[in-house]
Amino acid sequence: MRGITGAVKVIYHCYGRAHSSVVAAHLHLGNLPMAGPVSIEQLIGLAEFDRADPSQWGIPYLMGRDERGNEVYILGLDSQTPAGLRAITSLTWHLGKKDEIFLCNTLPAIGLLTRLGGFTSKKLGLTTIGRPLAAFGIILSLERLRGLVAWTKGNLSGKAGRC
Amino acid sequence: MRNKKIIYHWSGRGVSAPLAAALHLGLVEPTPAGTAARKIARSLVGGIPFGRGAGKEKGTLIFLGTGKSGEKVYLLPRGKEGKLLLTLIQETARLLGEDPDTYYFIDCELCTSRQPASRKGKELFRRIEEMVLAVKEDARACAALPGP
Repeated sequence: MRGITGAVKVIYHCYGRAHSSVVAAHLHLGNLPMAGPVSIEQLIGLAEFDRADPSQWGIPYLMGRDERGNEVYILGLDSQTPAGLRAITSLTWHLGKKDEIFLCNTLPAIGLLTRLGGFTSKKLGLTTIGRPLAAFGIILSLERLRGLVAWTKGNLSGKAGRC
Repeated sequence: MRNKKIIYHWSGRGVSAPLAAALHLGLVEPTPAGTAARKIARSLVGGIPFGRGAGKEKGTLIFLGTGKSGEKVYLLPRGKEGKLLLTLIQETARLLGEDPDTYYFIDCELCTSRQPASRKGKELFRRIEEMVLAVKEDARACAALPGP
């Protein structure tokens, strides 16, 4: 792995870019605390939480810039994560810009409850039940997400790659 | 001068996109449809690892070469549902400062799967050849345009 010299584009990706990637990006940007409790209301109050629809999948969405000037994006890859990652990495390789993007999969950090909440809200359209359920699931998985974000930020200071 | 990036994409099964890319780059000589076309198609199936399905290569953008007008020719095994991958490539290119309008996605199965199966072998080569000729003509016209 080579060291990153300039700012990179950090892409947190998950299934529908509505839950885990949104929370990870907000943790990265400091909009959510890296320690201490977070409430369901705080999560539901996030502008992007449980909002994205399938038409937005495959399009990186800029969430903001971190303290080092890195751009933080979220991305939904549906069930095509491996193929999507291959597409991004092969394209960046062909363009000679493979060090400009850092990919981070947030799906392994979340549990069944968030998936169930997301399914209820997005697939069944039962937002009033699904959204709080997904938020509660995120709270249960928050430490893993925080660990992932801390790991990503640590890697950004010295290494390029993907997780 | 705006040089295109031509991406021939297909599900990963069959030879339509590899054949189109090979024709585009002049790696395969245009031949009349019939036995000769079937033989070439068969040898491509054997020689190109994507002939039996995309598998682990699905999503990988493969650079094959540069055409006479300076256009870059790529292959993309996209699987059955490829819309997301095409969007992703275009949007990632935009993210990296590229002009997404120079990316042209050619669905090689759209123009080759309209005839009955019995006539497929005979017609495949001719249809792909027609498609590639149109793409090359377009690339030539695009290369002549002034850059942004």
